[in-house]
Amino acid sequence: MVGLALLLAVAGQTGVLNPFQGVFLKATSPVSGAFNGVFRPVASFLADAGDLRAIQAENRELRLENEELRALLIEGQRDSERVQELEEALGILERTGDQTLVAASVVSRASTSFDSVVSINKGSNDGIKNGMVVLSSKGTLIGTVTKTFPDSCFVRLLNDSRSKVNAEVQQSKVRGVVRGNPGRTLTFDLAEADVKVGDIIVTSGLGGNYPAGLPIGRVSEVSGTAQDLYRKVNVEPMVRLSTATTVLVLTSFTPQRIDVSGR
Amino acid sequence: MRSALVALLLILAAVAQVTVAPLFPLGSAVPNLALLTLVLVGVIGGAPAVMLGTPVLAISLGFLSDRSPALLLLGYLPLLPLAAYLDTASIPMSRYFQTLSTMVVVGLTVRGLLALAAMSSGASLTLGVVLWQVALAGMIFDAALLTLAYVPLRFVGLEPRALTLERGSF
Repeated sequence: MVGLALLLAVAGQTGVLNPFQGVFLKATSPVSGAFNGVFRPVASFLADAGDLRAIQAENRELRLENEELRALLIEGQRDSERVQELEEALGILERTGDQTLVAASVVSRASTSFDSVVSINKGSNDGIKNGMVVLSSKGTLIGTVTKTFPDSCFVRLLNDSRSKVNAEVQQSKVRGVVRGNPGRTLTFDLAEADVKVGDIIVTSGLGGNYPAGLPIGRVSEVSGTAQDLYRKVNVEPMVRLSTATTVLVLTSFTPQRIDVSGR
Repeated sequence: MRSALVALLLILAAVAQVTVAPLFPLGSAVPNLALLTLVLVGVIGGAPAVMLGTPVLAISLGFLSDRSPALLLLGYLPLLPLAAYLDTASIPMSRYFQTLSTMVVVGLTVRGLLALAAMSSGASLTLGVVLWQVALAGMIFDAALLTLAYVPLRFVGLEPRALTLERGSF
């Protein structure tokens, strides 16, 4: 058995197992789909039943936020029309369609206290490559492609303890690093200026692995004193990473440095 | 035929580990359905079933979760020797507690190895995190799961088998 483990280790390092892994993932995807179809509604129901009060409070907040957003939308539409008029007047051509996204469904997820990886049902046949950026259906950053097969690929989520993203506060442009931590939480580390609860954290684009300006999350807690060099800043992702079922792979952005080693 | 059934069951357990288990977390720990199935296969099918099932489970789970199958195989490896030792050693312990001890120790080995692998690839884990969030939470989960699974087995009258490898069996 130890000999077999050694053989598997060598085969895994040399990539001999990759074709077999691709075939295995394809063969088991119908079973994964069936399990997801049966158990996801059950888990969702149980989670909702446990959080009834929180859901009611969240519902009230969302209604208020919805009204504010409707007002902003109307204002935005007016501004957009105005900008269009001005662009036409100045002869500026608007660039559209410069982002190509591939929609995919989450097939399975491997999560422990320190790792958070999902597999999706699109792969290299759909133009997906290692290192590509993965977004939620709402357009927020959720992870990076780490391994591709013809019909599927693995995505390391932001809350995996091996994930690190150069980021900044949207309003103040304070820079730092969003890091996944044990227990599948996110922190905004190395921020050298004040960060407030409610600040929105976006990608900074530094390092070239992510495009700038992708929303990551909102600051949920800041702890430490003003004398600390770096305060501890907890970040709440914009979407629940553990329950995302549909994701978008940004195939038009090519990362400059691909660093997805480590398993 | 029986070997094929064991292999199929463990492949299904690996699929359940990456689809069903993450849906029912306890804090940051998830149930180890794959290990539970392997232990139950051993309890019902004996040592030969575990000998066949361990590599099948390690490879299936490694493929499905993008972890090293070799690492998982090493993690599951203590199952058989430990169960056999508890069988033969004259420790006053019921079959249930023998199985429970085996499952908890193997669960700790698997989680410990995965934590070490994560640390070697850049994860910032501290000893406290490994002990509380990985080891302790995992132990409680494993013990609770085995107890839940053991009750129906006893209810239908299944007598747990010894996991000692008999001379001449292979």
